[in-house]
Order: sequence, then structure tokens, then C-alpha cells
Amino acid sequence: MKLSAIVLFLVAACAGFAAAANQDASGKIEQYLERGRQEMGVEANPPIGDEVFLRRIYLDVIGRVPTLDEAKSFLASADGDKRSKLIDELLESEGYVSHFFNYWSDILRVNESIGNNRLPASAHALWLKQALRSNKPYDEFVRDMITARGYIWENGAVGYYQRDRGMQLDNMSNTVRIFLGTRLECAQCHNHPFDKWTQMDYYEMAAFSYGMDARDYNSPNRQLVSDYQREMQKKGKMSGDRKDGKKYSAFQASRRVVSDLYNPVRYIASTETERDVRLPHDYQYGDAKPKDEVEAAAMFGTEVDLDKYDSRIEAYGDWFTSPDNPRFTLVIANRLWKEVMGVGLIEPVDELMDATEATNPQLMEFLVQRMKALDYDMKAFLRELYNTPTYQREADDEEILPGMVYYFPGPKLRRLSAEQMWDSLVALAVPEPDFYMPNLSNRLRQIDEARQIYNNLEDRSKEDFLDLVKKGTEIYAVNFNKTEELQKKFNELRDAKKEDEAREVGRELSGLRNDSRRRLQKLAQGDREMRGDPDALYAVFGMDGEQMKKEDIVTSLPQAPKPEADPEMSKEEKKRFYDEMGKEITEWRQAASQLMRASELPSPAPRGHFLREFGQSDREVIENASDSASVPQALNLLNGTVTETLTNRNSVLQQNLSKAETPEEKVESIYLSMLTRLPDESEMNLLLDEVKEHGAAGYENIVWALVNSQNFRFVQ
Amino acid sequence: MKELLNNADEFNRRRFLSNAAMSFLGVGVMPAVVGGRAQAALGPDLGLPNKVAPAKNCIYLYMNGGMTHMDTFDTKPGHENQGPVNSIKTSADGVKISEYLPLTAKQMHNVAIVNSMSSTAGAHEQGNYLAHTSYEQRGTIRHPGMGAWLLKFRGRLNENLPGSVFIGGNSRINGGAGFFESALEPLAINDPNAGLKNSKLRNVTEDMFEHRLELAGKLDAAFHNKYDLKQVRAYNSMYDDAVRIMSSRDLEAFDLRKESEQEKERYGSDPFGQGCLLARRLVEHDVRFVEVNLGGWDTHNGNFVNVPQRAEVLDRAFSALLSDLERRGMLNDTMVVLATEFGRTPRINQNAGRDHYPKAYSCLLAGAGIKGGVKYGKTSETGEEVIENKVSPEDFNATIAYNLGLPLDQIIYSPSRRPFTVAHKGAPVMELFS
Repeated sequence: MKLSAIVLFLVAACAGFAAAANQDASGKIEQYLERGRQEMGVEANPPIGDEVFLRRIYLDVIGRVPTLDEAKSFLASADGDKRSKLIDELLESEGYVSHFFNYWSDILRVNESIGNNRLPASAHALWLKQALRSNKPYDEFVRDMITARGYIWENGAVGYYQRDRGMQLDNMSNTVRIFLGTRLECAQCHNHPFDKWTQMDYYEMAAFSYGMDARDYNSPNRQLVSDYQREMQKKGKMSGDRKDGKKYSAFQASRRVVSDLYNPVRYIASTETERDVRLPHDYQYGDAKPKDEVEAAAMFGTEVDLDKYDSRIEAYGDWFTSPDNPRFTLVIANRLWKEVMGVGLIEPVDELMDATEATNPQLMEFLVQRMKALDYDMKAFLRELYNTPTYQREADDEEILPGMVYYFPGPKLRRLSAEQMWDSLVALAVPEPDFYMPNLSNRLRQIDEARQIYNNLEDRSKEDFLDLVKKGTEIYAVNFNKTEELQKKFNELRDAKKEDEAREVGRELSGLRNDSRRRLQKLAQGDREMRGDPDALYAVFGMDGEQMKKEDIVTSLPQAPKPEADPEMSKEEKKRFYDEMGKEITEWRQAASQLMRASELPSPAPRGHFLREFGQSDREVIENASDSASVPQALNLLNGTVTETLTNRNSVLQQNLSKAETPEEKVESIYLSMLTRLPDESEMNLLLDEVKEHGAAGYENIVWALVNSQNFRFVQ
Repeated sequence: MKELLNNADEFNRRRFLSNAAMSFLGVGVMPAVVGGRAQAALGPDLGLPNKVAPAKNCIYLYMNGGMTHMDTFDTKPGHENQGPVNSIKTSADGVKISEYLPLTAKQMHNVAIVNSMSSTAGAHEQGNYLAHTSYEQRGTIRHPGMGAWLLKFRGRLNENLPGSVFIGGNSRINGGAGFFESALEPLAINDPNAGLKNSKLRNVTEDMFEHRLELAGKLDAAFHNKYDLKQVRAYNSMYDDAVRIMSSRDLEAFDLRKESEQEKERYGSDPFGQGCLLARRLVEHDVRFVEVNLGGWDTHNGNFVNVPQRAEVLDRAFSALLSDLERRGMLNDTMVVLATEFGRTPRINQNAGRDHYPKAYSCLLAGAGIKGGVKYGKTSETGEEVIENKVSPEDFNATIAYNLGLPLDQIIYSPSRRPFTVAHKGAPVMELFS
């Protein structure tokens, strides 16, 4: 009890001048940790030197190793406050956006690989980056997603509902799991067997967001068509007359026309409808009947007065993200703690129950209060954790055995995530790795194109729109009839064993529908220019501010000037020299087209990509990334193209290497670039021998060995 | 890190589960742990005898997009829904199939056709997921596929090779490890002719490779002394495994160049044909489970143009695979499955195509004690309704699982403590076993 009084006092003292209180809070956190360690007789690990700190903080905040220049400038600085300053600098950099984007897309399952979900997922990803870039307070961040309505080109957060389109109940389970750390999903079908939740609790919670609709949106014009079709049905005008006197099914054709018109913009929005949730048909408890409608009610915390709201989703958002919600702040404080230290104060982070207790309850409570006092400023919160002495201690070398509690002698030793590994390799190969975004404008263009198509359809008058449908229907009908004829011809040709001619007809037949579609599109487009314009969207997605401007974006990689062959060389030697160089340039071009940070590649990267082999989440379920070892990983590093890319003449690593003069300097350059430290004496001796023995190939061997070494794979 | 923590959770979970098992499942004693992090418990007794001499391994051919039943294995001669496709006799008495599959027809004495498949999932993604896992697709969990269940219960046969392999160009794989440990994830191969990715030395001699390994080892020595942790050690053994595979004779399993041109030709030079050939090689080397995918069955338009092309590819590879397995005596303990997510509308649409039709479709089983030369179940004259012996995807998977010797009633708990069984309470079709 005495402790919480201290906490309250502290909170009061801190509120209002968070940044200034930074060091105090870090100190306070250390005190709680120290108390925890003392109680258990655990000794803190020794503080780390600048080299280890440098590598760790870069990987933890911006997700990659520092470049050679970045490393040199930090290590050379004599500023006594340089660690704190570096933390601030990194938190404000674009690299932070990239790294924490990876973190959140694993949690939020941002998945661009599902066919119809590509566009909304892409918008969601851009929105997520913007939120991180502008340091949107966490409560707003969550609120924006769980109440997201609108179109993807104005509010990328609608991707949150698009992600679980048609699975609204699952979406609710996921929302509760991610942001309240509570597992409700079992209660969807029956009372929760291991927790207190009833099936009724589940449906009451579901009732808040069940009206959210991310399926085909309902436009007024679409409604028009239904009316038109119904009318056709009523008049018995199911078929129309063609010029040649034949009939066609106007009804079916018009349905196709409408679906083809709207197909490119089917999944671009989310809206709130009046839809009510009902209990399942096999509801088995006495408090209600199967298929009863259920009123929204909160699962814990403050009761929600729905009468005060026009919209259930607004009520949901308010209740969910309120500081009074007993689990909302706890979950994010614990999550970010785990992200920084490697182990949560509560594990797992998303299976809270009433009896759940943190391993260091006072510290947990303090962190919760800090998060509130900082108004959910995630960067400020992270800053306090990175500035603690414990974060800046040696990584722990003890195994956590089953049932053991971790008392934080230092952060845990961690393997680089797939993204950290990949992004570090990218930083070793390309300049300006954090701004190399060759795919960005195309993503924006596609989203803008959807906007144009949508507007083109919706801006039409009623008459104009119906006219378009009617004309389209005629085009389709003609092709329908052609289909019949062609199929007949195809069968005849096949029966007559005229394979080549049959194939020709087959191709024509298969192409008919595309032909209809193309002609419809042209008709709809008229003389309008429908090409998407990325420029229209840079500002919407936050790329016009201080931290990042459109002009900062790098879209192509520089190529080192071609060296001339030594004039002394024989003709044959020259030829070999230039052949070799040509090969290197081709390899570099191929690699470079892919050498962007993980956050700029599709989310997730395609199957079989380096990232996936090293455990990048497939974005199917929450936090599905893996850091387990696997044979394909080893094979990739042993025999894949990584070393080849890093030792290409055009790579940054190689460029730096060529600037270094003596073997010592070259070895130091490699070590500093790859491991963010200088080699110790025995390493230096070993490597100088290597170079003496193998010459230039020796450096390649060293790069290869480091790529394959534990030193590279783990964050110490 | 995550793995260590999961182990920590595991301790609590196990303790918790033994309590839970007592209070909820009425079982006092936990059965032997199957291994890994999920927990097994006894489920409802289905009253089935254990399968005698279960299949050792399984080749699972998946027809992506929904294979038309009317134009392949459930023809309706004379009916207007049939369109221009004729039926032909097969090597099995009284069993007729489509004229598009003349080579397969000669293998039907080995095959059981299930004509009465019926599902409720009419969209590709959902149907594919259900076919592979027996569970409905949910946003909150991933369910394991048959290969993962097989490895979970019966382990690998060859420690040098992966236990399960997926061959196909699909961007997503259903029926992977699901919530099981990631070691049960199938090794994915896009191009059957490319062999095992990165298994060959790259621009370096063997001597130099060894030298490099030695160098890396020396540079890591200090690190190993300092951090003697499970996760660090895991990387050592991973490198050992990788290098062992590189020099292992088993690597040949992935190498199609070891096959004669004639053999390759027989299976077909397309990726599916080569995939089936690779599947045969892998099973020969004791890989437990191999899935090969053939896409392009989504014939909404031009069904009678596109299906014959697909069928030609399937026909060559499937018949070559069955005859090859039979000739090598491997069909006794290798089960071959041909599955899809749904059939296609018996009524031909305006684009001379067929649309999705989960209500009635066909799948096949062969080998390892499956009765050959039979048709099981029946659809109506129009091909629209199942009128005899309806089989759900769960039942179909239960039949596969039972034939692989897997306990259908053993519950495995996911990390979130939800209970699952291999075929989601499906009942095996016992009539299909000889």
C-alpha cells in the first residue's frame, strides 16, 4: 500500500513535463528492478561498452546495424551524454518507422498477399507507417483502427476491418486479444473452459462492432441497379432483343456488368451498419434463447451507456481506449517492455486472467502509470526504457528453464529477427537504406486509381449510370451468344482432330470475357484520364512533414564508376576483366532491385524469400514470427547469394573496403560494418593471416565467415 | 528466445492441463506426451480398431481451384449437363470416367473414387483450407495439415530429410504446421527441377568451403564460451545438419537429373508432372508426406476448352505415378490422394463454363490398403445432389488419417488450450479399406 502511495506521488510529480522527467523515470524503473533482483539474490550484469550499446540500440530502435559512418561518428564522440542523444535521434528517424512497422504488422497481421486484400492491406501499411512517423499516441492509434470508417485513400486504418472481412466475430476476438491481452475466442462457441468468460459475454462484446461492414460497400448507384433488375423481373423482361432478332438474357448480363464495374473497388471501405448480432442456433445456456438478438455490453471496467451514443462503434472505441479500462494500458506497457528487454513482466503478453500477476508487480504498476502520464506517447515511453541502466547492461547468458522467473540482470540475448537480419544486410549493401523505397509510388498510384474508378462510378447521375449498365449489358449479351457459337465450332474441330485450329478457337473463347470486360471499362472511362496519381496521396500518408518529405525518397541505386582495365593487360586478360565486371554489374542490378528494407517489400515477403526462411511472420495469425533455427537458413547463408551481394564492387561494404588502405584497416572496416566493433588482438592476428594466405579472396572469406557467425546473428 | 519462453509456459500449461483434464475431461492421467509443445489427451472413443499395417507415407495431389466432377470422375453420359464430354471404360469393371483421362482409366483398378463428396465452403480460400485441415478457416488460429499431424504422431522416417514437402508455386500454403512447432512446417519447393535450394556450393571449392567453415568456427569460439544457450546451440546443430545434408546421399532424392529422360517424359515435362516424379523420389527416400499442387481448375469460362488441357497434365502424371509406384512395389505402403476444394456447377453457364459447386464433387484414394476399382457414393442424374453415402471433407480426411495409422480420437491442445483432433471428428469410410 505504501508503494502505491509513492507511485501516485511520482505520477503527480511527473505529469506535464514528461521529457524532463525522463531520467527520473528511468532511474525509478532501475530502482524497482534492483529491488526485484535483491529479493531474489540475482546480481545485475555489468554495464556494456559503447560498441555493444551502439549495435544493440540501432537494432532495437531502427532495426538494422549502424553503417560504418554512423558507427565511427558515435564511437569517436566524447560527449558524456551521447547515448541518450543517440536514443533520441534514432527514435526520431525514419528507421524507427521501418522497424516498428515490422513489429506491428506481425501483431496486426497486415497481409498484402491475399488477392482481394492487397489494396486495403497496402493502405493499412501506409497508415501504420504514418502513425508511427507522427508518433500518434497509442490510445488514438488503437481508437482509429477499431472505429475505422471511410475509404482507403482517406483513411488507411479501414484496413483493420478489411483484414477480417466477413469474419467480424474473429475480428473482435483478435481485437480483444491484441489490445486487452485477453483470450475470448473460446467463448465464441461455449463458455470459456479455462477463464471466466461466458458465451453471453462474448456476444455482448461482439455486439459493439458487429455492425462494421467491410464487404462490398453499398453505393446508391448499386442500389439503383437492383431496382432496375427487379423491375425487369416484374415486367418479365428477363431477356432482351438483339438487332439480329435473337434473344439474350439481359438479367444475367446486367448482373455481370455491375459486378465487373465494381470489382476493382469492391474492398476499399468500411462502414458502420445497424446490423445486430444474434446468438448462435445452438446456444445452450438458460439466460437466453438461440438466435436472440444481443445488446452490446462491456466485458469489464466501466459500464457503457449506449444511450449517450449515436454509434455503437464510437461507444466501443471510447470504452476500449479509456485509461479506466483495466487492461488497456497494462497490455501496451508490458508489450513495449518486452520489446525492449526481451521478456515481458507478464508472459505471455496476451493471456491475462484475473489471477495474473506480473513478476515485478510494483514495476508493472509504475510502467502503467508512466504510460498514462505520458499520454500514451510510445516514443517517450520507449525512451525511458532505453535509458535505464538495466537496458544498457550485458545480455543475459542464463537459460530460462521452464517455470523460471526472469529478474532482469540485463536484457535477454536475442537472435536478430528475420527483418533485422535482412535490413542489416541491406544496410551493408546500399546507401541510404532507410529511404530507399522504389515501390512506394506504385502503391500510392494503385490506391489512387481505385479512388478514380470509384468516383467515376459514383459521380454519375442516376440516368447516366443506368445508361452505362444498359449499354454494357448489350456488349455482354453479344459476346454471350458468340460464346455458344465458338464452343460449337471448338467441339467440331476437336472431333475432327484439328488440334491447332481448335486451340485457336479455344483461345478466342477464353478471351471473350476479357474482351467484354475491356470494352465495358472503356465505355465507363469515356474520355476521362483514369491513371492513378501518387502525388495526390503523399500528404495523406504523412510524407510531407519534418521527418520525411517526398524528396527524401530514393528510387534508384547509384552504381560505382566502371574501372578501366590495366593497360598492361594482355588482350585476353582484358576480356576476362571486362567479362567479370559485366557479370558483377548484372548481379548487382538483380540484387539491388530487391535490396530494400523489409518494410518496403510486400507484407509478408513472398514464400521462399530470405525473410520468410528466417521466420518472418506469414501474417496469418497474431505474432507468428519465429526465431527458431532451420536448415534452409543455414543453407541460405552457406550457399546463397548474400556474400556475393555484399562483396559486389557496388556494395557499400565493398566500397568502404576499397577505401581502406592497409590490411589492418580493411579488416577493421569489415568488423566495424558487420559487427559494430573492432576485432580484438587474437581476431586481428587470425584475420591478417587469412589475408596473407588468400589475398583478396581472404576478405571474401572473412565476410562469408561473419555472415555465418553467431556474432552476427545475435544481439548481445 | 520465444522458444525458451514457450518452454516456460509449457511447464505451467502442462500442470494446468493435467488439472483441467481431470476436471473437464474426466481423465485423471495424461497419456504419453506426443512430443513438442502441444498436449494430447484422450477424446471421445470412436470405437475403431487400430489400423493394421497402416500406410507409411502419403502423396497428396491437390487440384487447386475446384476440379469439375462432371468432366473427370463423375460423368453423366447422355444428360444435357454433361456437355460435349464422353465417358470411357476403365481397367475396373463397371467404372467409367471421362474421355479426358485415358491413361488414368488404365489405373482405375488401383483407385477408389469417392463421388459423394459434399462440403459447405464455396469460396476457394475457405474450401482449400477446409480440405487441407478439416477445420473452418478462422482468423484466430491456424490448423495443422495432414502432413503435420502425421509427423506429430508418427515422426520422421529419415532424419536427414524433411518429414514433409510441399511442391507448387502457390503463394500461400494451407495445411502447414499450423499451431504445431515450426519444425513440422513442410519444406516448400517451387520448381521441382531446381532441387533443394542452396544445397550446392556456390562459386567455391570444397576445400575453400571447409576452410571458411573453420574460420567461422574460430571467430565464434568466444561467443560460444560466453553464451551456452539452447538457442545458440540450436544454430550449431542446424549448421551440422545443413552440412550433413549437403554431403548426404539423400540429397539425391531432390535431384531429378537422376531420372532418365524417358521417365521424365512419362510424367510430363510440366511442373506438376515433374512434381509427381519428385514426390515419388522423396517417398522412396522415406519422406513421410508430399503434397503436389495442380492449379487452373477454376473454369468459370470455357470449361470445355480449359478442362481438357488440365486433365491432360493430370492424366499423364497421375497414371505414371500410380503405375510407377505399383511397379516398384511401393503402392503397398504409400497412399495416394487426389483432392480438391469443391466441384463445379453441373449446369453449364453462359460463358460455357462451370461455377463453384461444393454440394457435390469427387476425390480419389489409392494404395496402401485402399480398395481399388470402386466407386463410392453417388450423385443424382443431373450431378447436382449427393444421393448416396455423403462424405464430408472431415470424413475424407479421417479416412486418410485412419489409413495412416493416426489416432482420430486423440485430442491435441493448441497453445491457446483449444482442443483439436486430426480430422475434426470426421468418420472414416471403412468400406474403402480392403
